[in-house]
Amino acid sequence: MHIQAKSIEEAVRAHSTEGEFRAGGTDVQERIRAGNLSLPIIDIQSIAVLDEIEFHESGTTIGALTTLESIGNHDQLQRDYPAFTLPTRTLATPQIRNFATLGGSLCQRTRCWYYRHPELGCPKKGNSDTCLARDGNHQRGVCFDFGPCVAPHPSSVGCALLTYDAQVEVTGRGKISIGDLYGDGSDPTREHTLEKGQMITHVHLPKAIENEKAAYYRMMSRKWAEWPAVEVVTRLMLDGNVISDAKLSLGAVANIPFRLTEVEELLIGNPANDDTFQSAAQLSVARANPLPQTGHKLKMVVACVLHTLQQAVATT
Amino acid sequence: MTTHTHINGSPVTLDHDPTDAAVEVIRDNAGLTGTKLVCGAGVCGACTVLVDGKPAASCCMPACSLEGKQVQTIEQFGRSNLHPVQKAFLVHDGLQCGFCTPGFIVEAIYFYDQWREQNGTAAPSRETIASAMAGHLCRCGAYEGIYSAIQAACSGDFDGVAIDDLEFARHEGIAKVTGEAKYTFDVTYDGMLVAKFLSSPHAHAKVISIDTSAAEKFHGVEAVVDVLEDPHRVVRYAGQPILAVAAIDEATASQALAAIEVEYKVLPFVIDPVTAHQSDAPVVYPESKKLTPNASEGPIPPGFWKGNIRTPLTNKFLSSKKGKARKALAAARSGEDGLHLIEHTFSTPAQTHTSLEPHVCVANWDGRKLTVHSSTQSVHLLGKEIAKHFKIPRRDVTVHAEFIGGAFGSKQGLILEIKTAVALALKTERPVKLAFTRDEEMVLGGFRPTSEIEMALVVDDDANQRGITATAWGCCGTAVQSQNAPWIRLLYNGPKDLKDFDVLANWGTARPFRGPCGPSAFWALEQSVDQAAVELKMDPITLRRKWDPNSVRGNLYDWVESIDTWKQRPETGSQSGRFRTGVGVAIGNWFNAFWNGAQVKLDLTTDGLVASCGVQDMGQGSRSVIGKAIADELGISFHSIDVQIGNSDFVPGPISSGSRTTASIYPTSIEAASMMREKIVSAAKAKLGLRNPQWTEGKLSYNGGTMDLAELATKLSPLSVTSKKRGSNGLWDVMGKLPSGDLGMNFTLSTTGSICLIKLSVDTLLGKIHPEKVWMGMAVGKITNPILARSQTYGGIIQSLGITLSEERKWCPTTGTLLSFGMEDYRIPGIGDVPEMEVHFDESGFEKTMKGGACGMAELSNVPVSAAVGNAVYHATGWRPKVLPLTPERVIGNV
Repeated sequence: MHIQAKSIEEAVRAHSTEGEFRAGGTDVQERIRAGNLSLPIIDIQSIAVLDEIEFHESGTTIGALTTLESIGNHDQLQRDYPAFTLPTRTLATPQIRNFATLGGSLCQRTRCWYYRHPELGCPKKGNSDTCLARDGNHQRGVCFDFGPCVAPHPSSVGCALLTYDAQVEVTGRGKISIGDLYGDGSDPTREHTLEKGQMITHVHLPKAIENEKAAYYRMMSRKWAEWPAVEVVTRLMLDGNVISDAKLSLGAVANIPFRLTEVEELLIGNPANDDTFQSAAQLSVARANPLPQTGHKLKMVVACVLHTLQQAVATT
Repeated sequence: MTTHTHINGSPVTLDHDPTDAAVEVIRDNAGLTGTKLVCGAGVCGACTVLVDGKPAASCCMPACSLEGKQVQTIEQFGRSNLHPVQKAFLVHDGLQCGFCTPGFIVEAIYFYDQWREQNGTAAPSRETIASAMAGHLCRCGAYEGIYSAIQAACSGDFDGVAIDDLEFARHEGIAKVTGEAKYTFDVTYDGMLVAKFLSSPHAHAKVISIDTSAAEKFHGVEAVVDVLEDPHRVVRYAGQPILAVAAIDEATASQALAAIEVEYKVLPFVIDPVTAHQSDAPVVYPESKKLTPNASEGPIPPGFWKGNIRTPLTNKFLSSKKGKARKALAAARSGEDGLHLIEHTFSTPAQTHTSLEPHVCVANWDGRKLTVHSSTQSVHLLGKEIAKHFKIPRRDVTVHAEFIGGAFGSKQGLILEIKTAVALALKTERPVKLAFTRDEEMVLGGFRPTSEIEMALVVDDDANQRGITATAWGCCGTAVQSQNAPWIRLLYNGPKDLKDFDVLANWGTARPFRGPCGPSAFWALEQSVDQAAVELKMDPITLRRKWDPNSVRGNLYDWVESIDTWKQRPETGSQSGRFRTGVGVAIGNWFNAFWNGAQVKLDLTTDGLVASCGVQDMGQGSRSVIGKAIADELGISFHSIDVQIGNSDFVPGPISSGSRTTASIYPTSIEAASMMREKIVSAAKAKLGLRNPQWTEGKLSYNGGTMDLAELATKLSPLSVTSKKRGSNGLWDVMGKLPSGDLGMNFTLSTTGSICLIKLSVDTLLGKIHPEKVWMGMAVGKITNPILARSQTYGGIIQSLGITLSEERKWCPTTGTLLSFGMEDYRIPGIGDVPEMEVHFDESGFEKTMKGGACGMAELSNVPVSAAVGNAVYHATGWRPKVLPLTPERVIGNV
């Protein structure tokens, strides 16, 4: 029940009907301990040349097996894509970032208690048709209720890549947008739209924009190493004091990370001042439809959006 | 499958399952147990090793990814000479129980190498260290020492320093920083069976039938035992063990468990203590109230029951001038002139002990003798308890607990994992290991009860306290004996009407935890007193002095009043803007306990002095207390004494609960040393014929020369002395006068106290509270070992900050399942959450009342912290917090 894939083709073939890819293994090993894994394990870690970072004319390509540590600490990536590297340096722990991969961080499974607990049911485990958290405890759940699953999507990296309109290269599908990778959250069984036999091989970032102002905030009860209650990735482009472009994405509040397009529209063309930011922050929860136990997250979203806007313009 | 790798420089071929994690092959195949498995989820870092030079959480790394790699474990470091980081951890006491230490050290060595390469010998900031060490958790709270150690090592303080030149306080420190220390979790025997529990998925159910026949036929299943002690065959919380299986390995045990069929009759349950109050709530113990486990260290007093509510008869003795207090409350509520009423309901959550070493027991029965390895706080007493329970002669039972990876009150007595492992060992006549998984640890390991305290404080315009009334509800889950109200008596005089109630719910059972219900009682009391000062427009310390004229605590007030941060604090509520500074103070008090039956034995052997005692060390430093007391008494080197503890065959040592360890072994160690000195002197005269021998400055001097201990050892050994029992302290030690005489207790509270001053900042936008600095003044009598006393105080502060700011259990209301069952969802403080801390000891007032002049300090360092935070938050914002923990969701929008 184990395949050691040496090539993309071999990995994809092995995965055609069942099984799970294992790269860094940081999520998979935890789930093995909880008895929550579909066999066979398909190890893809030793597939060559999937861990390279390549800068070219039209942008940057990063192999799916590149570790988060080598992304977060990469000087040029930090300069060119600060809104990508900031969360990459903040999430999880140093030891996890050293071995967790880009592809794995995009495709990791939900942190929902009901999914993770060996005794409880969840459609993502196939042992329940309905979401038990919806009628149970969803205090750390979504406040933008997009679909059947009420657990926040776990990928901070996905949240960040959304603000760059990054593309993901998937076997059999070619290049798809990050948005398409995650879909609309309506599938209760998956955190993404990948089918069996589909594997992420690369992430493509568009050409870097000079002088973008980036900020990331991850709301945690402690200083480090916690899944966020809310996370916001913010990119602002300024023309003088006027916001010429804005990209904001919100994580940990819906079953997919998503862009705050209405907030972006409000920001663009307006001066980068507190009035604008306050209005933008208030608008950030316009689409929110909290669950009975997640109303507290709305205040958090407003505060985090405001904070990142202020932080972004304060960066030099 | 097979993986070829290099571990600590040697090529290794590992045969393992594809599902195995690196930690499993490192520990089980390679036998390198310095690497610990704790959370199993990449959260705590205890399993950290270097893989091709980079720190890895080996619990979340596939074993096969070690193929062709270079792995370095803690055992790699300090083989010939300790690494500067290890030396720094020793000298700066960056460790307590030691279970997290190997992981921290491996990560710190990596950080040190990187830092030195880029920054030379500049000292890294606390922030830099915190972000580098963010993947490690320490439950004892050794973070302050870890910060200092890493700064010192990076600065070059330990470059080229020889081990022999190091001065460090922790006697067993080297074993802990090198990973050599063997905990119960690390013990293995040839042919050892692995035991696992089958647990109830239901929060309340009657077990109708159990069919183990299929499981027992499995190849490799050696025994199945029933562990549900309830005579009604009812399980009362989700995760409650029903059966245990012993099998040749974990996989076989798991398969066997899956094949067992249990038929349940599911019963209604209650999780929320507020719901449990209601008259129509499901009752946790409908059959009988005689079964309730005890969450406290004292006896269960008689009580009245109504549904899930228990009223202990001791309520009759809690109050003083009850009528006066009630009258004052009624007058204040009716708005009588000149009275101020401070009336709030304060609540605190359950706090899980979260020892990094789980509850674990290895038992081996060879047909005649029983050897038990247990992570226990009561090694000596446990030997007796096992002998009695299993009807084995006491002399045929030996309990080992040489190293214990944290306990905090949760590992006392003959508890489930010990009973089960021993029963299985007796049944199979093979060694059996039973370790709680982390999920089980979170459910079964124990917790501090929740509290809800309705408190009213009435004061008059002249700042006289007219009365305190408190109704306290504590939830110990399926146990009883939450006790909040007694602690409200410990500080202030005046009329009091106090009542304690247990409210039961379908959770596991609470266990004693570092000042049980102390933090909650002071959370209510000390915030109420602070609010009274606000209403009276008085200085909060002046008000406390008026109500608590005790001289020892007066010294603590003087100390706080000398601190600039206190003197220069802004007016309450005077700040505006996003970030506001809060300065708050609170005091606490606790009783002192002793083990009057404790003794210490001292042997002079050819190898030198060997001290032994049936005590244990969970990180507080028992070996060091014994070693230092003897070394100081004899004037010899601390490290020259071999201190042996953690064995029930040694002379009786104290149980380590109620902060009684140091107070019990310190005077007995001094006595043993003094007896040995006399014995050496008289033997020198009698056996060696020396004239006028005298012990001076660590040597024997006599007419014509001197002789050091090493020489005396060769000439006089063996010599042996055993101290008398510690004995009671005097008239007031009422418990010490009881027939068993082992437990001593002091409720005269005029000699102890602790004061916590905290400075914090409140981010009013994001609802974040950042503690910046804590000052803790401790009046705990003689400080036998200042470095360790400081470390323990830091730990008390940090654990209290945990319950104040981040620790919280979460439940499923529909299934009754504990949802925060891992260490990522149960959030104990990390190194980045720890403020600077300054500790002050006031040693006055003790010598006359206590043998050796020392008392415990675990509780006193812990109990006032939450209230100080609450008072500081009020000071900064004008918002009085009432519900803990103060996570952003509770703060945001309120400030």
